[in-house]
Amino acid sequence: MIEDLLNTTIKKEDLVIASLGKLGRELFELRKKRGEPNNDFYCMGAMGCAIGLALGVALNTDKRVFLLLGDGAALMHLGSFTTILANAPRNLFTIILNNDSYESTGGQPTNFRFAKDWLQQFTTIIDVSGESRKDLGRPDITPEQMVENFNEHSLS
Amino acid sequence: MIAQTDFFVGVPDSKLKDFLKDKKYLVVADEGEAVGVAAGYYLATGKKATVFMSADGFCNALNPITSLLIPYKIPCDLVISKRDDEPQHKVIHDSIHQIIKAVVGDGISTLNYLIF
Repeated sequence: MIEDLLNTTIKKEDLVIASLGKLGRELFELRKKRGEPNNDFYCMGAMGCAIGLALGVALNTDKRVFLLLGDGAALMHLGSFTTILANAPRNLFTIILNNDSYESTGGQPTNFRFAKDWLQQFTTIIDVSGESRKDLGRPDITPEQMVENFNEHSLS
Repeated sequence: MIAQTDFFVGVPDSKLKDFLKDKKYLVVADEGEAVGVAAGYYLATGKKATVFMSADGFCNALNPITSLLIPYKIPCDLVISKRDDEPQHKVIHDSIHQIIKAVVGDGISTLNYLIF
């Protein structure tokens, strides 16, 4: 699914922010495999804070900003979506990959279905299967390097 | 100097009224989000932002402070108001300095804070 987004929607000049969990790890691997520069920001901790972070970026750049979220991360800071709606940056595109579960921690169910009707009014929700690859690696660049890469890309 | 930034984001508190007067600022839903927005501001511009919050709100912000700002070395100023006039504020009022000290150790060059 993430590969489809890279093929069809996300262009190389876009800024990409991914929430923690397998989603970010998959994106990182795909960039490597495709030989693309890694300028994405992986919010590896601070669950749900990728939402505020993407808003902070979008309000201060002319580039398109893609926020890729898991359903668990979206739920943790649901209030942040009201800030997005209030400020309505036209360059921010939120894509929620929903598997109705905390997959990285063992597949425990989320209650995302109760937020879905509201969120799909202004985000793109893609339902995905709960099973992801078992052999996913982890981003092997340092957090500082990640900030530097993203900074350079956003200011270029 | 703290809070000499072009961008302010946070959740208001009655004690922050004077600090916010005459400033342009972004109000968000919770203090963790505020730290996220400040980090995003830095990522887009290379400039640091100021996050304002109450000491109670600092508890909401602690996760992104320890998991985002500090490990990613994202510069940020924190302006925190505390009060002890009511029981629900007193525990964090009395412990916030110790908590911050435990988190930042002898100091972190990218993170400045003011508690009043």
